[in-house]
This record gives sequence, C-alpha cells and structure tokens, in this order.
Amino acid sequence: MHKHADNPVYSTSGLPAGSFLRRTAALALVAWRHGMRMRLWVLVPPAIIVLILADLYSPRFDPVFEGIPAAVSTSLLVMTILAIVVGIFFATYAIPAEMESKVAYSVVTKPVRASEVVAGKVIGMSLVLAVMLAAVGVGAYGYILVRASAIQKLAAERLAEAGPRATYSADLNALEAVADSGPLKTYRYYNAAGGPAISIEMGPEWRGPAGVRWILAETGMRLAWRLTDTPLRQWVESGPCRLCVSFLVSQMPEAQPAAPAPADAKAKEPEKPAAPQVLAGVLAAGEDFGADTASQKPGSPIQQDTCDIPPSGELVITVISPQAPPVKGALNLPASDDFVLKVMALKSAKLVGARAGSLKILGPQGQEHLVAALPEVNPAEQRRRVLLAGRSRLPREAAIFRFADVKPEWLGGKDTAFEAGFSLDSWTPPNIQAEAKLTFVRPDGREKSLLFHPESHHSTVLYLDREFWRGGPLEARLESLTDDDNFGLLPESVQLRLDAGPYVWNFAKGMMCVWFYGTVLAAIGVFVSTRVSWFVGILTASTLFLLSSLRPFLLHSTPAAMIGAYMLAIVAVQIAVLLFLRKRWALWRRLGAVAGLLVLSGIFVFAAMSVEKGPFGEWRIRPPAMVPEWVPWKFFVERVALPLPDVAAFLPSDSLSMGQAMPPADLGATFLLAALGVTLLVAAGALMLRNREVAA
Amino acid sequence: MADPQPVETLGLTKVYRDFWGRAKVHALVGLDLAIDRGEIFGLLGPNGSGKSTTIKLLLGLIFPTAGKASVLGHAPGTPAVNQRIGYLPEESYLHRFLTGEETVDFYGRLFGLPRKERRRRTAELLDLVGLDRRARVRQLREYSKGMSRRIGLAQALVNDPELLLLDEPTSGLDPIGTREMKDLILHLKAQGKTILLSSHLLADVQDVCDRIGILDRGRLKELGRVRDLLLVRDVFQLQAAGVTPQAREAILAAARGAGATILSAEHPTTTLEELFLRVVRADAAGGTPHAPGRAGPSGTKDAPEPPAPAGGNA
Repeated sequence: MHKHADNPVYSTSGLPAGSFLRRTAALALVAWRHGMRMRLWVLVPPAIIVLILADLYSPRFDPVFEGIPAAVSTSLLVMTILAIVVGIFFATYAIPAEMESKVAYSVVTKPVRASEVVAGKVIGMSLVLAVMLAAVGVGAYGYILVRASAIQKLAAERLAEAGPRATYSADLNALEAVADSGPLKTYRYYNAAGGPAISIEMGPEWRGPAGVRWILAETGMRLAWRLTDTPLRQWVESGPCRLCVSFLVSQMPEAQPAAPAPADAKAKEPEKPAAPQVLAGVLAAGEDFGADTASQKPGSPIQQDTCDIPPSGELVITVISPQAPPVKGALNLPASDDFVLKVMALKSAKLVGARAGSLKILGPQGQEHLVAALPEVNPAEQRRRVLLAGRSRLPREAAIFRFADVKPEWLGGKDTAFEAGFSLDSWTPPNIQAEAKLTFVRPDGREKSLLFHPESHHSTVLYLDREFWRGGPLEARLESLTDDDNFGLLPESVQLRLDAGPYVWNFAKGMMCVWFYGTVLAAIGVFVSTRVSWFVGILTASTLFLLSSLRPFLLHSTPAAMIGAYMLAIVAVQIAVLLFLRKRWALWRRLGAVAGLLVLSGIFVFAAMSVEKGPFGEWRIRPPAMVPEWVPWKFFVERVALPLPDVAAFLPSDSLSMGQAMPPADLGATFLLAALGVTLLVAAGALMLRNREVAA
Repeated sequence: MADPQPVETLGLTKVYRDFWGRAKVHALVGLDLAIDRGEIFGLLGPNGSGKSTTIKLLLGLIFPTAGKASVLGHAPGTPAVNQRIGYLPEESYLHRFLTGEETVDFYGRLFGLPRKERRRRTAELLDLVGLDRRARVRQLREYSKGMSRRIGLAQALVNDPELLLLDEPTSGLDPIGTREMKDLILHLKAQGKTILLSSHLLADVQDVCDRIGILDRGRLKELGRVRDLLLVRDVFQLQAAGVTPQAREAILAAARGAGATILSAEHPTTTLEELFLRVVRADAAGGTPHAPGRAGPSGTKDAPEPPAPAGGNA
C-alpha cells in the first residue's frame, strides 16, 4: 500500500549515502547565488559608513585608551546587526519563497532529502553572511588602522608633554607603550600557580621570636592543628579531655604603650590592655566556624567558643564526647573521624602565634599526648577565596601570588613595559578612597612597589617597567592599606597581562563569532519557515530571537508562574502540532511524541521544584547563582527549564574589544556549540518539512 | 517476473480540505489507471478536472486521501523513483536568478552526475532544446515564456529519465516551438521512454498520444487508444492523388451503385499549423511558400529524426 505517513519525496531510502554532501553543496551553492544575485551586498557600504559615523560621533573619555576598544566594539555591533538582518529576514524567506513560486516542485521531484534541503539553505545563508561580514570586516579594520595611527600620534604628543622618562609615573608606561607600538595590542592573562598565600607583613623594626606561626587579629586568619591521628577520640569516650595550647601573644608595634606624658602621668592610671581573645573550635576537617555560639539552639552540641588567653598564654580547652550533653565552657567533639582544632584571633591589635609542640592533649586519667607539628596557618580549604583585611599600619596581611617561569617572548617584542592586570572584589565603603600596594619581588629579592586606588568591582591595570623585570619567576605581594576595608581574593585575582600576538587575528576571531551567531540565527529562520509562510515565519523567528536575547533577564527576574505559563504554552503548542499531524504520523512517531511531551512535563515539574519565595513574598524561580553547585541541576534550570537558545552566548565578550585575546579553545568551543545548535535545528526542520505537502 | 507498469493507480482519490479539516474540493475520485511501458499517454480535461492533481500525486508533491499509486513499481516520490523520472511543470518553476547553464548544471548535481558528465550533458540538452550560447548565460528572469519552457524541458531530461511527466508541455510555445516539442516527444518515445502528458490542447494530444484518458470533475470519463476512440466506423474516406474529373465521377457513381450515401466529395484542406510552418520555414530557407501537393494530418506517429537546433528564438 502506498504509505503517506511520511512525505515520500524526502524519504531517506534509495539514495547513496556518500552523495549527501554533494547534493547539500549543490543546494547551498544555489542559496548562496540567490543571496548574491539579490544584491544583499548593497548592505555592506552603508554598514561601513554607519560604523564609522557611529564611532566618530560617540563621546570618548580618553581617546588614547578608549578609542580602539570603542571602534572594535562598534564594528562588531554593526556586524551583529547585519547578521540579525540576514539571519532573520533573508533566511526566513528562503524556503517560503520557493514554495510560493513553486520552484520547490522542480527541486523536490529530484532525489533529495529534506535534511539536504534544510542544510543546504542554512549553509548557503551562512556563506552569504560570511562574504558580507568579511567585506564589512575589511572596511572596519581599515578604519581601525587609520584610528590606530592617529591614536599613536596623540600618545606621542602627550608623552612629549610629560617630560623625561625618569620622571614617569607607572601609568605613563602605558602611554609610552601606545606611542611606541600603537594601540593595537592584544593580551592574555597568566595566572599565579596555586591560590594566594597569606603572610603577615611585620615591618623592618619588628623583631619577633623565630619558629612561630602568627595570625593577626580581626583578619580572618586561622591557626589549625590536625587532631585525627591523636588519641583524643579514644580518650574522650571515657571522660572529658583538655587541650592545652601555649600561645605567644604580642602587642603590635604601634600598640606598644607610648612614653607617658609628664603632665597627666599622675592624674590618670595607665589603661589596662584588654585580654587577648580568640575563637576556638574543634571542627570536622573542611568545615569552618559557624554562626555565633549564642545563636545556637539549646541542647545542640557546642563546637566553638570564645576564650580569653590568660597572661601566661596557656589556654585550656575542655573537650567532651559528641554524644555528651552540651556544657558551657566545653566543646563537643565532632562526629567526624577527621577533625582539627582551629583558632582565630578576635581582639584587634594582637598578634597570636604558636610554635611546634605548643599543643598538648590531656586525657581523663591523666594521659598526655604532645602534638609536635607546627600549626598550619589558613588551612587549605580557605585558600580558594581568601579575605585580605586592610590596615594602614604594620603589621598587616599580604596576599602573595607566585608566577612561575614567564618566558621573555611572552612579554611582547618592542614594549618597554608590561602590564599586570588586577581583578579585585573590594567592599570599600563609598565614602573612603581605598588604597593598596602591589610589590613585585624578583628572584634575587629586589622589590618594586606600586601604590594604586582599586575601584570596587573594577579591574585595575598597572604597568611594570621592563627594566625591572624581563621574564622568569616573579612574586606579587598585595596589601590593602585602608583600615576597615577587605579584599576578597581568588587565585586569579592578580594576573599578569602578557602579549598575545597580532591584533588582526583577534579581530578576525570576533568576526567569526558573529558569523557563528548569524548562522545559528539563519538556522532558526530556516527551521521556522519549514512549516509556515514567510510573514508568519518572520514573526515567529523575530519573537524567538527577542525571547532568546531576553533569556538572561527572563531567567533572573521572571516569576516562576510566568515561566510555568510559558512552558505550558510550549507544551500546548506541541499538542496542537500533534493534533494537526495526527493523520500523517505513524503510530511509533505518535508514541515518541507523547513520550517527548511527558519528558517536557517532567522538566516542568522539575523546574517548578526550584521555585522559592522572593524578598517581597513573591514566588520566583531560583536564579542560577542561588542554585547549589550541582551541575546537572544548574544545567536543567538554565538550559532545559527555559528552553530558549542562548544566542547571545555566541557573540564575543566585551573583553575582546578591550584587546583580550580569545583563546583558540574558546573559539573552538563556540564553533562546536554553534554546529550542534545548527545540526539540531536542521534535523528538526527536516522533520517538519518531511510532513509537509509541497503542492498543497 | 514482469517489469512493473510505469504508472499504476487504484482508486486514487484526493480531497482538498480547508483549515478546519472539512472537505472543500474533491479534485480526484477513484482513478484507476495503468500506463504501459514505451507509450505516450495523454490526460485530457477542462480546467479543474484533476489532471495536475493526478500528476502531483504521482510525484508525491501531495498525498492521496484514498487509494494508491505506484510509479516504476515504487511509491510515488521516493528517491529511487525520482532518480528515474523527469518532470516538466505546467509553468517552468525554476530559480530565476540562475542562468540557463547553471540551471541544468544544478539539477545535474542533484542527480549526482560527475562534473565532466554534467558539462557534456548540459551542452547536449541546451542544444537539443534550442537555446543558443547567448541565451545560456542569461539569467532565467530575462527569458521569454518559450525559452523558459525549453530550459524546463532540459532540466527534466538531465537524468535521461525512463518516465517523463509533462504538464501542459506546449503551453506558452509558438507554433514552431509546439511542433518541435511534439517532435521531441515522439523522438523520446522512439528511444523507449514512457511519457505521461496532460493538456487541454486537443490537437497536440491527438498528434502524439497513443492512448488518452479524459477527466472531468475528478472522474475518468473515457480511456482508450486515440485511433479507436476517434474512429467513425460507419463512414469510409478515400484519399487519392491524380484523380481526373472523369475518374471522380466514375468513383462516385460506383459508390452510389453499391448503395452508399455520399456525405462529401471535396479536396481536403491542410491545417493552419502546417501552413504556418511551411511559410516560416520556406521564408527562413529563402524559398517561396508553396503548398505541396499532398495534404493531410500534420503529425505522424512514426519516430522522426531528432529536431535540429532551432536557435534561441522564443
């Protein structure tokens, strides 16, 4: 019997598999010729003129350093608009035009598959877009070269006004670099090996005892002793044990009692210094101090407590078993077999330290065990993100970033300075101007310090003279000089900015990303137009595009109810399509579609589970940042629960126009993502086209 | 096992429906048809009788509401079938931005022909349909209707098909083009190809078809060999040359004597098409348009020589 469940025109049987590419190439070639002979290229000259005018008439705070990023940004924006025009309007037109002019009669009566027709259209559109983007790109880059030449002259003039090189401030090195080799430079970041190590900058006049590990009060620094291999666990089962710690407590240099003033010496008694206070806790390894002890529920085990260090420096901490009822002044051992004693200094103006062998464990029957190891400062679990406390006086914390061997050629050819990039999270109150110091230390111990004012949540770029350092290992020591200020630091918070090759390649990579973006849009346009007229196709593709562009906004700010309604609408549309196709689909396809609907419904329920009550009492979907670091869950919320293609993800990031080189791996990943998206859209489009009566 | 018939339909029905799925037009109702290998079959009928619907069903461009059809032994429209058929739509639905050469080359690519073969085939077909070198490099948007029909025919023949489906093949052609098309159809038949054509130009069908089917409002009203259907069995016609008036009278008297009723006894006229072709061809050859002695039907169902290239005229 004649089977018309599938459109036999597009049946996949009876064709040699190897000719798929040939036929697709033939169809793509025709689509490309269509675009070229429709004279779509007439859009190129206006696009170049628009980008030049837009760049020339945009205000610039500093033309030397902002001119090129702005020009590149404008160029990529104009190309993106071009990609949207071609992707949405022209691609959506391709299949309906052939249907309405009945050219499709001649094509589909040849031995072709639906997938070849759809893929051919998308590839053809992509080729048209590639040619147009290349033409605009050549024009734009020509303009950028002209701008760069003007900027280089301007930088040279400014440098001449600045005076002899010996008087340069660090920032003028950047100007010199532009004047020497122009503004078209790319850079890449080079990270320190491992996280920042925290040390205490004591100052040259402070002489403390040797062999002591110090922590500084109110900085979040911790001393830690691992107790897992001690007999404490065993002893505590038979009665309370004691942890005896011998601390060294030192006043800070500026807190030393000053020489008494002669006039008031008798009138006032000298102020008694406050007892040094620490927060001590016996905690499972990997855990940190919790909320305040006072806010703990009554009856729950006590695992941390605030203690005063007596003048002798000998602190005794009583430890009881995990099951024992909590007793004030004693700590319950954690249930975990792997546990540590942690101590954090609370009161300001105190340095608290301990030597090797400072900790002794006393059992209930008078047993003794000496912990011989040096205490660890800031145990490993703290190192991913460290808090650097600010102090205007010594001693203060310093975060040390160690850069392994940096090859001289990584610093670029002719430059006289290299750049050190910073990305700092600081909680500086708006009414104070934070100050920080970055000290570079060469392997031979020679140092060079730069003072700067970090801006909250902005990266700060400093320039280090190449005469000081020409490659090799380097240490960077960061200190915050502002009282009551804190820097949150990650391993990549202080990075070196290294030379990353010719600028034109980076620009070309940006263009390629725009091309991938346009190709995905073209695939969306072709996919949509496989079932509907051009007008409806444009409306649908535009709506999809707008929703995709608004996806981040939807994801973060839309109440769950709206997202739920949106998803239900998608399910409803699918049901409507199924009903429409009910007579054309074979049983197994209908069963597959029902299964797909069930999966969609499941995803909906899954997404609904991630709703939460917002600050104003409204129900909303949990934003991804709030979702725990469980990757599949995040994936579902971000990618499946809101099933819009994240088209903006294909566009180059703003950092590219600032000169940051796009790593080849990123470009490759973008390509693969685009290829995957296009393949899925082609497959879905082919499925839709197969079930369409061409001559209906 | 015997070769399957090139085209076979059984109860083929097509009902066009509106948006809500309600029956709007019964375009074809229960068509039973079988076309033999190597014959030219003509589908006749007024506008809206179901000719084009039948062809679209046989191409898989639309799906039947009921019944079944097979083309070259397979379901219509499968790639295995499409590889072996050629289709000329009622208007040349081709990419208007391509040139003539690019058009034939494109369809050759869809059939997977190698580059050399495509080049050879393109030149051969464009010669065959009479498109000159200047016309070949012009875009189809600049073609006249006749030229479009010619290039449409070239793309239909690019794969050297076994079965040709021609929808109104002479539509838009001038008398010379019409004649060439008919000659070409007969030439293709002589090569053993099976041809299904639809037309409402009865003379064209009569000239070339072996069998015809007449459709009206979706139903097959008549089916058979052209000669059988047109034969007037109770009338006898004699045509002879060199008959003197005396001999004519003697023949008429003999017929009357045998009891026959003389319905007409006159000199036959030629067709307007024959006259036109003689005038135009004689003019092109520099001679005088003079009627030859022999009159009669213009077409012949014997295979003619392949038509000579007619140039780029439309």
